[in-house]
Amino acid sequence: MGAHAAYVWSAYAAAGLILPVMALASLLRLRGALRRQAALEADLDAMRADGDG
Amino acid sequence: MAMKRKNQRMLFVAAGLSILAFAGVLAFFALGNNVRFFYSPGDLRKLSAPPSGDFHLGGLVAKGSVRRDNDMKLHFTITDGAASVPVIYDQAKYGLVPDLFAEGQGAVAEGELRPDGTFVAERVLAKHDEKYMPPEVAAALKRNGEWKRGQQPAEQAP
Amino acid sequence: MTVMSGWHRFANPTRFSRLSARILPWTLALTLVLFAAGLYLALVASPPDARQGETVRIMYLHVPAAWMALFVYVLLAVFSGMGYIWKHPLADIAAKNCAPIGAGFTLLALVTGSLWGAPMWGTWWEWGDARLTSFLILFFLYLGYIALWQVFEDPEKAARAAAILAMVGLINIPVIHFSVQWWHTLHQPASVFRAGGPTIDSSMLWPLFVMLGAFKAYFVTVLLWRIRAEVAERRVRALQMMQAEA
Repeated sequence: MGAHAAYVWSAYAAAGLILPVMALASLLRLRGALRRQAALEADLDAMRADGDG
Repeated sequence: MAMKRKNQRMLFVAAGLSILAFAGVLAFFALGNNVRFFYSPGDLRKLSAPPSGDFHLGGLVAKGSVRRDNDMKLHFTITDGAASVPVIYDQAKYGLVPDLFAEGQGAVAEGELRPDGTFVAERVLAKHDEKYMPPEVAAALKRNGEWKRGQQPAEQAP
Repeated sequence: MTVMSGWHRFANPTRFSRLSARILPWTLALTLVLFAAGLYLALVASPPDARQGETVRIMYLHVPAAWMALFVYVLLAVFSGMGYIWKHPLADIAAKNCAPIGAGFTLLALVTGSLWGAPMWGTWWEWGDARLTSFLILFFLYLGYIALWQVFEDPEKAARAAAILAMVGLINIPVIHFSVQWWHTLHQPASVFRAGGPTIDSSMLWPLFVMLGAFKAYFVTVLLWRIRAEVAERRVRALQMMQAEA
């Protein structure tokens, strides 16, 4: 049994690499996009307030 | 106008998918027997001449057929119920067979058919069937004599 | 969004972002809980196999990954069809963001399958096998789909071209599923979704289903993150244009 343990651990290592990397990349992308969107919206609001005033 | 274009696109998708399905069915029948990983002994018997050169021979390792020579030569018979072919495999030269290789289980041998009807293998792969069970369940089935019976249908796919 | 009627109402990007923000914490929690339970069941609580021994544990990754690879592709093609017919940007975005996740599942299924095949079959890969080859084609379909999106500058054109590829590639799905029945393959036949019921002992079937649940919850979570990200990115681009004009 022990002879094949390396294959089992390698498979779980592959999953432990692929799935979290994909999730983390997607989450960071979302964070960045939401931050940029909020900053831009704040800018536009400020511009609009200046225009009104 | 927009409605009409949408319907057009819908029709296009439906037509495309049906043509694709039709092409798939045609391709399936055209490819048919060429998409085989191995010939079973029964397939070989149906051929007018066995494939020339190296090919894959697959089926069940016949019960009681495995014999090991002193010089590490492994003898066994591949069967599919319809026919069987004796196989020789030189473990000293080509390496040990996989752990899963066993009598009554599936195997695929790669090599050449000699004129005397013996298959000389250079490589032996083990096949696994669709059954997964813990050792206790396997032991219980074996005790009840269901192990052997349950083993057969899996390998007799067309 | 101009007209909001029928299902289009639910596909409104703002509404979608609000709704997804509300359910995401739950799907994320579900993913973590199911993976914790699934890994415990797969690595500790499930028995070794009578023939494969401990190597059977690879199955708890390989089978869910392979199922998800097929499921995500079908979903991608359905979204593509909806985007193609109704020209709805959110459907295009959903299809586009299915692809990297599906490609990840496909890669995982290929790698874990290879790691199982080496000790069990005695080979990492066999080119002549219909199941292995058709599954590799699935991986290339995902890559081709992703690449096609990059080719076009205009997202609408890209969506249309990619959607056509996605729908044509659909033909590969039944080929993958039935390959083990239609042809002689090294790969074993189906064990779970087959006529006559599963041929996996229940002590192994439950861990498998929990892992499948974990993969499903993971997919929903990551897909929602990606769609929200792309919706926000498109909004950023629109705002930047507004700013440039002002």
